[in-house]
Amino acid sequence: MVSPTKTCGCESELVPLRVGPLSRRRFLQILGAAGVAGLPGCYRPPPDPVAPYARMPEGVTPGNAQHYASALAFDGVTTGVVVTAYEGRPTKIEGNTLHPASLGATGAWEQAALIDLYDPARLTSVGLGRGGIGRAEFLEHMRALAKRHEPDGGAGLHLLLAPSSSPSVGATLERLRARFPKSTSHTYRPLDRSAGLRAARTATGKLLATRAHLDRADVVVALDSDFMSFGPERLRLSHEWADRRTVAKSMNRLYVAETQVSLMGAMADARLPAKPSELPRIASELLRAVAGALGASTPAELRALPAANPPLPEFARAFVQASARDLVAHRGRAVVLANESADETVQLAAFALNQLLAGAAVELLPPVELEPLAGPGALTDLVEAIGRGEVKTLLCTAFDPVYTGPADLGVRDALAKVPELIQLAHLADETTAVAGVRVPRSHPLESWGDVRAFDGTVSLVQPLIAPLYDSFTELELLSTLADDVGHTGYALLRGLWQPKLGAEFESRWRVALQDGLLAGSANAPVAPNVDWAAVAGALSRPLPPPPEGLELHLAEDRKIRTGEFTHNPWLQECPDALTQLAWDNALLLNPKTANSLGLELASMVELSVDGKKVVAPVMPMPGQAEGAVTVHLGYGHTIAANANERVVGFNAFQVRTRRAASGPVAATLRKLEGGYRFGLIQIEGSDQGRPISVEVEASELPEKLADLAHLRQEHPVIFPRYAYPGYRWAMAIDLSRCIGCQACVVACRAENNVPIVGRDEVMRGREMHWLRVDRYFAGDVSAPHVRFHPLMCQHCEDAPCEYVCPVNATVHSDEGLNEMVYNRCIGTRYCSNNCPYKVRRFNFHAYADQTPSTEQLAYNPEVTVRSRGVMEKCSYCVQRIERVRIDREIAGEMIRDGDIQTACQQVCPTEAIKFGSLSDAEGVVSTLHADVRRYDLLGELNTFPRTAYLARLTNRAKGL
Amino acid sequence: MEPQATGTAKSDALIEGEQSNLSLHQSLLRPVWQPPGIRFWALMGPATVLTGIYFYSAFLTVTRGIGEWGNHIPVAWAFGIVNFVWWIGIGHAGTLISAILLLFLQKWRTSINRIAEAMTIFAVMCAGTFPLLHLGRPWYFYWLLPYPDTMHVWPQFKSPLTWDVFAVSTYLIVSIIFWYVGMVPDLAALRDSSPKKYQRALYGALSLGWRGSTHNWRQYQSVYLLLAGLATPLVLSVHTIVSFDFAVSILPGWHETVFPPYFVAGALHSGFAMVLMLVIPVRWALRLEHVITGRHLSALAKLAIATSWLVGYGYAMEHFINRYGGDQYDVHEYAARVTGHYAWIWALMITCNVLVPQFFWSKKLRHNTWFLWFAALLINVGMWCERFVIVVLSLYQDFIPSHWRDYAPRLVDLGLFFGSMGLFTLLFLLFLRYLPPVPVSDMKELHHELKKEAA
Repeated sequence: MVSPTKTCGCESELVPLRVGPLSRRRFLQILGAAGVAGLPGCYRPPPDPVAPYARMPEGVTPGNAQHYASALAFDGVTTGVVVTAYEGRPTKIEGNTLHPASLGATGAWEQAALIDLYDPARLTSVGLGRGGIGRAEFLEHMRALAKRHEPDGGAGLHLLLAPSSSPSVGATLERLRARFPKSTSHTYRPLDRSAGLRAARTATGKLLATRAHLDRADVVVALDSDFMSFGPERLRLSHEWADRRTVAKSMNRLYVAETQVSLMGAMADARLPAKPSELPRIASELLRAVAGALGASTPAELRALPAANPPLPEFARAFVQASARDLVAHRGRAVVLANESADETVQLAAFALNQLLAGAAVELLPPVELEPLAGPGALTDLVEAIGRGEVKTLLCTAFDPVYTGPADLGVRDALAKVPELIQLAHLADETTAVAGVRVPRSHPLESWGDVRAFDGTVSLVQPLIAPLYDSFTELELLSTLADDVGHTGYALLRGLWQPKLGAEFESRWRVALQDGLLAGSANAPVAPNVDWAAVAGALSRPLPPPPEGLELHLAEDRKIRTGEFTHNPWLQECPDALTQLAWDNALLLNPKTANSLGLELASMVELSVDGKKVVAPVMPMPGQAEGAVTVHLGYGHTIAANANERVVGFNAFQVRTRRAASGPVAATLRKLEGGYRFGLIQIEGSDQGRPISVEVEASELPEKLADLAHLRQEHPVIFPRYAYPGYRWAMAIDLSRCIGCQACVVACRAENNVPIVGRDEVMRGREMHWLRVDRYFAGDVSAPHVRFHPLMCQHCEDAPCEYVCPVNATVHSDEGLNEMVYNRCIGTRYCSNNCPYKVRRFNFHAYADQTPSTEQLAYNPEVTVRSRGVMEKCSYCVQRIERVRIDREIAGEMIRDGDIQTACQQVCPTEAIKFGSLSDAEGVVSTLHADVRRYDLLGELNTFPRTAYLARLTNRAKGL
Repeated sequence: MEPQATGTAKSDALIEGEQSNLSLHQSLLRPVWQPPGIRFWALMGPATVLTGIYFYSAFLTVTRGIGEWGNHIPVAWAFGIVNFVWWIGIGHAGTLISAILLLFLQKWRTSINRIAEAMTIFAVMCAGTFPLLHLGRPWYFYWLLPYPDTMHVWPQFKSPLTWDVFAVSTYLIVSIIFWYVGMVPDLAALRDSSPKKYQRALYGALSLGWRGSTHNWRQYQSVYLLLAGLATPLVLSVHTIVSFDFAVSILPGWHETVFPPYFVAGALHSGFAMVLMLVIPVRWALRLEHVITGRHLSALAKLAIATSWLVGYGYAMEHFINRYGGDQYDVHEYAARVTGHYAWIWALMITCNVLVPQFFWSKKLRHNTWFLWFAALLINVGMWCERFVIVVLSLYQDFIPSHWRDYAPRLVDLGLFFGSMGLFTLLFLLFLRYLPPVPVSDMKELHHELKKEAA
């Protein structure tokens, strides 16, 4: 069935039909008209031929999903995805199992990228001055522009580009530079991620990226590097790390030193909270300790490294000693990760440590970006050029430089001086306000393109839908200058790859589109010689003295990055894994630091850095390094098109001066009057000692088996139990694997049409997530133990919700599903009261009706949209079960283990969630349900939950 | 002849002064025939405004959804259910006074039973609106009823909410019939003394052709007695079933076997208090001190002492079982009530329900109408707090700490709560205006009996 859409104007059965005043005749007329007129209006196939991924229905069969491989890039480097579309509407993004950066999984960003396609605030046509122009006029405008710049070789033509690894963008830029040899291009990204490459250059003379194989690592030390949240390898690294967490004998051990608690900090077996200025010293001390322990087998230069000055505190030295011992003991199977750190000392020490210790667990690869050293410095160069009056025309495809630029650089004023500023943007933003020409950017799901993975693997980006608006891709926009005629992305792409793929182009092209990648395009690892003297020289250089007082730590946001997803409701409403904050950011302080400053939750402070100020609400955060102030970037936009309620939080870029962007700086806080209201999804942070998220130290597992068995549902019952003769659907969640990344939370929303309630309603406690990842802190506020706990409907066999419903709206299936009958629900909410897991969600208002009509296009047509006054909850993705059942029954077969993947399971980068039938004794779920680590949540209530949890194993470091 | 309003709160007589059939007849029907005074309109005005607020709040609730209330997950039930249980509890005293005290031949019930019954009906009406408004989709309320549906879907009879529908509707129907049947002789008396034709027609129709014949009286007496017999078990059953809404669940703080008797006792406690709150101003405003005497007020106060001990026993049992059981979830839930953010509500509950009624041991205070009225008010505040403690404070911190969340009502919640008081007052004032508040024929009968006893 088709969801209600503006484009087709047809009433679907999802909208309550108003049959009252309609006669039967009129009703049938409408029904007929909907059938004839509705479908063609809804279907927008891309005009150029695309190739389906798995199944190829003849034409489009309404109601049958199509799946296409494509790719999504963040900071220019890709995750391979498979996109599901119904009648030409993309409705869901999944990982591509063939792709090295996805391995079948996606993160929250990939999931949420879908809703950006349908954002009602998107730019819809080219804006010029105060008005707008058509596509042809714009192309003519660009041609005239090119003609103007041609005589002097493009001397006044500057490009401000977003990071990219696209071969076709690279080729187009080459053509552009050939046409305008004097043009200048700057590649800008707000955060510097090139320190690792520069460190490798110091050591080897070449820009090289470190690729870790955590599946081969027994010991992992991660320095200031949340490899589970950020970077193009986050899904793969998380997966490899988690694969070594479930068997006590072969467990890895994770040491983490970082400023704010990150996902990897929450997962760490030993964690050191450290101020930003301490991290380089910790890294070089670690290198010194390892080099000392390895003795004569290490280069002499490293053994002569000077001690850290000023010296580290006692607990930090203990951490360094313990991790160094462990690293040395596991030489050849030990990895030091610093992927995301912007500090060159940290990166260089990590590089050196890996060279000494990692063996086959680390490879070096050439970088894949067109401009690997892209960073905030590009903007400084540009602003200087503007100041010199050199810039006549600026083509900006980078993300919002006015908003993300250094606070003390005056980017806005500089850009306002550029005579011709052409901006390619998804939404109107701060830069748009000064751009003379605003070009709508095509969403990746409506674009042709190519892009590389971290290892160089090329993916072709193919569109699922013709552009909804008159938009351009970066490739197409660059082509308007590079080529005399602006080509389409499709033509440019085929033009580039035809010669490269040779004689069998058409068939290889098809295969590449179907697979989502070009087989064999990965880069080979390189083994360069290391100049140890240069390494030691760089590391011997004295570090700048640490700032006095509080230290500022500016961090990319785990949800909305540096603001790219600021307008994305799926990510905004998703709670942050650690703060549990939705629709907001906060100034994070260790509770002890907050206490000493007289601050508490929701106090308002003025944060000043180098004279720049921003007002922010405080959130005391256990595990935060004492004396460090963490603020997340990406919030507090001043312009966000027409949906004002999505402008939330405070803008931490306002204190990100050039100095603050390049190293540790001091921050001062001044307490202000008044308070703030946070939209917290979870308020209580302690599990009160209850066996909810259970964990066991690996070495103590044999003694703890009896305790775990006690938490299993093995109590006598009086009444005979139903036998469940057919399938017995069940789930198993391995807490050893769950890293709390929230990908499942967003995936569940996308799959099940879970409505957005907005910030106010989140504050009132009405959020609708069917699946939440709860976060509990235990222990000391400076070194807390963090536990994640994914919680959704447990599908109890004896469900407390069912017997209290007066109208039979929640009932049990003969396969053990606890089903919600939305049509029957009258909203007494008794089921929620009687649910001990509190996983039921109520439509207090008509939340689904508030979904903008364009965003309704993202609805999964297999799932009912719920009306006001109706209870809803996790269904174990019953629509996926039924889809597989239909297919299997047509084929006359039984459903096999692994046939059905729930949305949360499919997305999970660490495979923490498994689903299947307990009737299959050999199946994965049956195996996990029989695992010694299995326990039932609140099993003593005799609810007989079908979801089993597997206790988390920890592998604590000795001597810490 | 003017009624002799000589009664004082200190009197022990059931009927004050020298009365005759005529004086009783005139004094008790006077409120209907005499034009309403300033006191009536002074009460009618605020009641009408509050009723308007009530309907506006109900309108917002129905058109915009339960989101207008303060409810959330985990506190999915709050003011709506608190108010429901509170009102229905208030409704309990009426039946107890009219049915059980009739069967026990308590003479003092006679003069206050109609007021108590009217209070019951209006309280149950107010109570009944809350579960309906409380539904997410109130327009489908009839799905709670077992009607012949083409899809053969019936209510789920395992759910206490289904039992509730039957319990409350039965109670309302029986209460109305009992009230109405008891009023037939008086309606006939009104018909016979109607000064205007339309009044005669109206009261005539309502009095069902009552002629006062011996035959009429014999039929009437047996029907009334039978109805009293029917209504008696309802006193126990209704609030028992309301308590099942909670006791049948598995939630700490709700899952308690003490609930049925504890709820019934609490209901009577609030009911007696409400009767006191109504009777004291009514006897003053309508000059009924000669038939609603100090003896009546004193008897009600004594009953309040009894019910306060029953309620106190319930609280003590909750405390004891909680400690004795030692289940960690129960222990936390109880601690969250007693020491959490809402501890003051718990303290208010104990003070008002258990401590305040102990002042009634003093005969002096028992005969002080001001004190009685104020104490009754406090008991009703306390009983409302008790329901808040049970409903909200059990929900806000249950099994899974990640879902704990504090509760605060919103404007619409307050509008419905105070508005329902206005609606109740409005209905009660209309009752006082158009129907005799004290049973005339019963009073005459009592008068004769007392005279015979004296002789």
